[in-house]
Amino acid sequence: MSLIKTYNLSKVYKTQSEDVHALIDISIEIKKGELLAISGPSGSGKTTLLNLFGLLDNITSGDIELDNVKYSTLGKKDKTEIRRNMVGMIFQSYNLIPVLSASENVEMALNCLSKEQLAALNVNNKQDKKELCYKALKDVGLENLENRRPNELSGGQQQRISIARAIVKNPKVLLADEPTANLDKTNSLHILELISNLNETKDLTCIYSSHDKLVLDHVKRIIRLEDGRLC
Amino acid sequence: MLKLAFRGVTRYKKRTIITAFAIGIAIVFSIFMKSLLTGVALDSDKNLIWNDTSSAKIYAPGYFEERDYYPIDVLITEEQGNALEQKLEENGFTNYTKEFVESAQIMFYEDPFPTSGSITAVLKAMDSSNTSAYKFEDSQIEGDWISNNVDGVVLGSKLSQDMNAEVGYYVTIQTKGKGGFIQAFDIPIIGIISTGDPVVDASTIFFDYNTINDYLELDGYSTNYSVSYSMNIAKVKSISDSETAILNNLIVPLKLEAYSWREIADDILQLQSSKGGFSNIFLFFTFFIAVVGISNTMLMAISERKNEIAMLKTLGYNNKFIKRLFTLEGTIIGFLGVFCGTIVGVLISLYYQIEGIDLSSFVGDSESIGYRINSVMHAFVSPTQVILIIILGLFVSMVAAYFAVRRTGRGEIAEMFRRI
Ligand SMILES: Nc1ncnc2c1ncn2[C@@H]1O[C@H](COP(=O)(O)OP(=O)(O)OP(=O)(O)O)[C@@H](O)[C@H]1O
Ligand SMILES: [Mg+2]
Repeated sequence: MSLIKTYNLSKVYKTQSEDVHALIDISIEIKKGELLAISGPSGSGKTTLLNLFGLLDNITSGDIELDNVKYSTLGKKDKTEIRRNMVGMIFQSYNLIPVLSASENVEMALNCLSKEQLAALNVNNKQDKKELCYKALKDVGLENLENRRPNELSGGQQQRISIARAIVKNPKVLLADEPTANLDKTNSLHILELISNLNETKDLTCIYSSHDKLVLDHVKRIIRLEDGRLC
Repeated sequence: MLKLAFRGVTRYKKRTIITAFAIGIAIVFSIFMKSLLTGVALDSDKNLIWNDTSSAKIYAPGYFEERDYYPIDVLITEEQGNALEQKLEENGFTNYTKEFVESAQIMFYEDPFPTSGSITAVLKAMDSSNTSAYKFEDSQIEGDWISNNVDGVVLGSKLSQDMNAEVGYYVTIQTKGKGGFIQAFDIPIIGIISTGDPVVDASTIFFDYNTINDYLELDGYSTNYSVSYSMNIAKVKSISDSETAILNNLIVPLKLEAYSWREIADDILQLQSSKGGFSNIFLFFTFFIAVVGISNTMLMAISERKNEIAMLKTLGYNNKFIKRLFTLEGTIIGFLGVFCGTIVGVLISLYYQIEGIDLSSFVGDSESIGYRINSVMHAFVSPTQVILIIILGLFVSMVAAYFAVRRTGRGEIAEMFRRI
């Protein structure tokens, strides 16, 4: 069963001097439960593609379908809704909220959910919410560090908070844009194994963007891009 | 959300302090400038009313229009004066002073004076037994003040400086008496008065009315009566028109007319309001800089957090929530800044309200800006104005935060993450 499909997807960045064709005519299909990487040299369009999946940027032409919903049909509200409960994202630079503790950062992913969405996660009160966050942190191996703030943790630990934040709402897909680029090998392996584990145990679809061999070794499929085209 | 906003305020300590500090400075300046200018205007009016115009003056018909030339042919007769005094007493206008005002030449000669010369001045003779139309209590007097039938003149301090006069020296006064005859007499300087009003201090020589009555053979005639409604300047300002109307009604049968201090000092006040434009522009710039300063620091504080905003959007928060959150946070910071700024601003202003601030090196001659004050300016802290500035400060902080977050959160999320 396919989770994500793209139809002749193209992205053009208009700059002052020229139009940059970051993605050209991409048609791919990603199945539910897949663990795959989008690979390619720097500037090939990996980040651009993930950003389009995660609704962080607008599509120039073509379309994306996520769980049978075509992005071209979505209004602003629907897009917010999809970001809210369908997509989890992690970044090279973690993007944690520095004033919040680990568990509060994770909780931020739940605080914008509706009552019904929370109920679907078996969260009916504050206590449930707390417990779910602790559980997510435990899943990423951060038990006992719930109350630390990001700047009191290592890079690897911070990235694990951001994974906990991305998965706590049980999204359909986890998008990871070079999640290990700032980490050393040991920490990178931790993260990769963690995600592989999630993929297996929770049947979570995971899409990396990376040209790191370590990452590519951990996935089951690789989609290669070059100059915005599939190859 | 409130909790989250407070987190932002309390945990980004440095940023909060810097932003609040900038806002505080803007508030301090606004309060100080406003208080100073209010104080200057108030002092100016106070000087004018306490030392020169009183609340109103009563003249014989025709005198008012010619008052700048000190006419000698439209005087209040002694009978009119007596009837007027009775009317005033009966109707509760007990603070009045009988006066004779005329232009005069003071002539002074070498030894004891360092040089000989003459200066034009305003001779102001007042009934020493009742000078209650004025308030000379705040004035500093070297030597004696005028008193009943005491032969002597009290000089304005600036005038005496120009002459190098000292108490005890004799001067010759030349002026016009009733009927327009030139009269001259020698008289000792018994005192030197410094009222704080630059115009009075530079031009007026004070006499006892009875003394002048004898010298000039006035037969009890006077040029005018001055009347005070109150020594509270704010009160005088608010009631002077209505009280003057009452006064005018009273004295119609006596064939006299009353004019309020505003009418008498019309030329000065006009000068003030035209020069007042200057202080308004000054104030406008202070406020303008304050508003720009607040907006700018707010924009900087919020745009620095574009990644946070982008991440909130990535997590699925909508624009409404994000705008509210950051506007709230900005308002809380604005509140802190305004709160501290108000305390400091009011304290500084109060200090200068009590101590005064000598700006002579800045402003030069204060008359040049149209105000009747000497170079020491006193601030005046008006609670209403302070409250207004507080409200304005909070409002500006809130609006600035709103526009800052709107601007920062504009565009695609990917674009925001990339922006530096
Ligand atoms: N905002 C933008 N404006 C103009 N061009 C852009 C913009 N963002 C990306 N590009 C261009 O689009 C192309 C694809 O960029 P993208 O960031 O997707 O590459 P990438 O494969 O993620 O590279 P890297 O491995 O270095 O992260 C590049 O040529 C880049 O210069
Ligand atoms: Mg990239």
